[in-house]
Amino acid sequence: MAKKNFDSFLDPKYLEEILGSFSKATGLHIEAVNRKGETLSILGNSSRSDFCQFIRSHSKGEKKCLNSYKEATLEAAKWNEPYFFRCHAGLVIWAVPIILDDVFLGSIICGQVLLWKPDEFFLRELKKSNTKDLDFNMLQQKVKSLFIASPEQSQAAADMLFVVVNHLVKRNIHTLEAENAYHRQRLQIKTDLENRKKQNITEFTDYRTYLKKERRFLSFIRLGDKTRAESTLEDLLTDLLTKTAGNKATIKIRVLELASLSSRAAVEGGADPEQVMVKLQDFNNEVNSIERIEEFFFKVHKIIEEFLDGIFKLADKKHLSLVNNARNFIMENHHKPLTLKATADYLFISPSHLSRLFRLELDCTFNDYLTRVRVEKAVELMKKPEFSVEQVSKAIGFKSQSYFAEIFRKYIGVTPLIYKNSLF
Amino acid sequence: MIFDDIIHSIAEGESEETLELTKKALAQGYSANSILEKGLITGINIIADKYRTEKVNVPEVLMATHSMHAGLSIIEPILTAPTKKGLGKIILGTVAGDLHDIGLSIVKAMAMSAGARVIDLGVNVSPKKFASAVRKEKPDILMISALLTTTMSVMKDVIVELEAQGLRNDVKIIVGGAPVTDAFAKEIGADYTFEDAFQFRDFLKENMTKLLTSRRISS
Repeated sequence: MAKKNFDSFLDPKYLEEILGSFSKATGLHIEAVNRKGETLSILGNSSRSDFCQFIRSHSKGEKKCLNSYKEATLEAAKWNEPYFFRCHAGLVIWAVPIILDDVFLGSIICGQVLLWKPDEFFLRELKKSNTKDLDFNMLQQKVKSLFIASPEQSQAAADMLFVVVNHLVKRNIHTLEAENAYHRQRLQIKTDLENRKKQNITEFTDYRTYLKKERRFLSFIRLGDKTRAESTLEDLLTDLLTKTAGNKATIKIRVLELASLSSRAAVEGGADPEQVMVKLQDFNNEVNSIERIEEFFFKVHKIIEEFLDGIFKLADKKHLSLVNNARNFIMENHHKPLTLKATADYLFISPSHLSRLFRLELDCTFNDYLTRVRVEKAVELMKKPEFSVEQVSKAIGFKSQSYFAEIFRKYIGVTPLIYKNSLF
Repeated sequence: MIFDDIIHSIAEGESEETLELTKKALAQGYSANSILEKGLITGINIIADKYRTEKVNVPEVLMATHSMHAGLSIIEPILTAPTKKGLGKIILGTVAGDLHDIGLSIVKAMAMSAGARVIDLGVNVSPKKFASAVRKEKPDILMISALLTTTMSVMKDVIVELEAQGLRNDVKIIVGGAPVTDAFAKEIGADYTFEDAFQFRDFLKENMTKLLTSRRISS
């Protein structure tokens, strides 16, 4: 079945029917090309321009043309979008990938135009690359036959061809959306790296810093702090790319670990364990068949977002912003003797309403949440050797050290002293 | 101001104008270096920044690149002229899978203006090809470029290949490209990376002699 599709798709008659009119309407030259760069058919009942015919009249020129087409076809398939390039003879061409049922067949090559008047630099370059085998005066004559297109026209033609080809191969709209998302992810990684470079950030080069950041990230998940969790994740992934120098195997392992750790943290934060584990399983299966780094990053972003959403079961936006404000208030003031009433006053709502919101959105009481924030903070502060357990207990707003010890043991499993001693 | 005109002609992709203006600037007595720096590079940087922040059509970028190369073709012979013998040899290229050459051309022009001999391997260069060029030409510096986050890791492959062939220690390696940071350069075992072409040129001017002497002593 699938096999039959390829043959019928690349059938010149079929292509002519669909794309021939495109060529006639735009006056642009179109060829269907296979993966090796070999032309299967020229569409729209036209022939190549005199210029191209002349270049191809020599076997070396023909070979270079094939190579240009092949390279462009591969690039177009790699990026999954129209690929603009200049062929060996300096013409501007774009290739639109043909991908049918995830199998890359070839491309539609369009253009063979100039975006500028053939200036003296263009001619000089042309002469340099083609005088050995061809009569340059003749070639120079042929240049006059070339079509000069505007950049807008070229881009529009490429966009339109892309739409037509995607329609022909019945590309699933979801596949296209995913591709777009990967594209954005790629840009995001690049922007992050460029920003780091500009700001001259003294960057990490060891796993100690990476793991420290990872721990901070997990604590944001446990607290359901979406904003901070997401920005830390972005940072973590950029670190990972740098540290592994783009090694896919290592990135895959780290990303899988990150998803597992986040799943546990999300459950501790209040997400439903059944749902979380199902999502994690799906994620592991999906990631197994992935090859591109931006896909790893995109998928891990997505699952962590889902985990975080799992912590907020209701999607009532109005409530959510109140709860968010309450959470931020707690984060900033957790070291003070904080009460439900003080927080409710700050938000201009009644204590009972706030209490209900916490139950509804976070599935815990106000005091539970406050305690969790304090314990997270305590764990962070314990890692600093200069603070004693007593100082930590005070710093996070516990009045009695023994009560702190009791709470800490309840959440972490060991007393603060044992925990601290195990660190150093 | 003629530099503004050159910048404008590049941003608009008017290659014929860029050619004429570059010639005119030379005739007016501006140095090839200043034309490169204040005209051509500034012009292409404007397009590069625009490409990063807003939607610029790829054909427009192609036009700007063509204009910059047109201007470069006028000043290159002059930049190359004062090459002093023994002032170092540089091999440069963009890694396999990456077809970007704007940065490469700029860096090449900078290296030439500093008086180095430059061998340009072009774009889409495989690790093996880099290694065999190093073996054959014995350069003082190898410069590897990658413009895409997806091709950055190939830079490491190049260094690994050089190590495997026992060539790594004979050459200083500089890596470059928009997404390449200090930490990344360190991680893959390169010697240097620079924020932009100007920093690279300053480094070259300051250190070329030092590099060469240390090489002579060690060999």
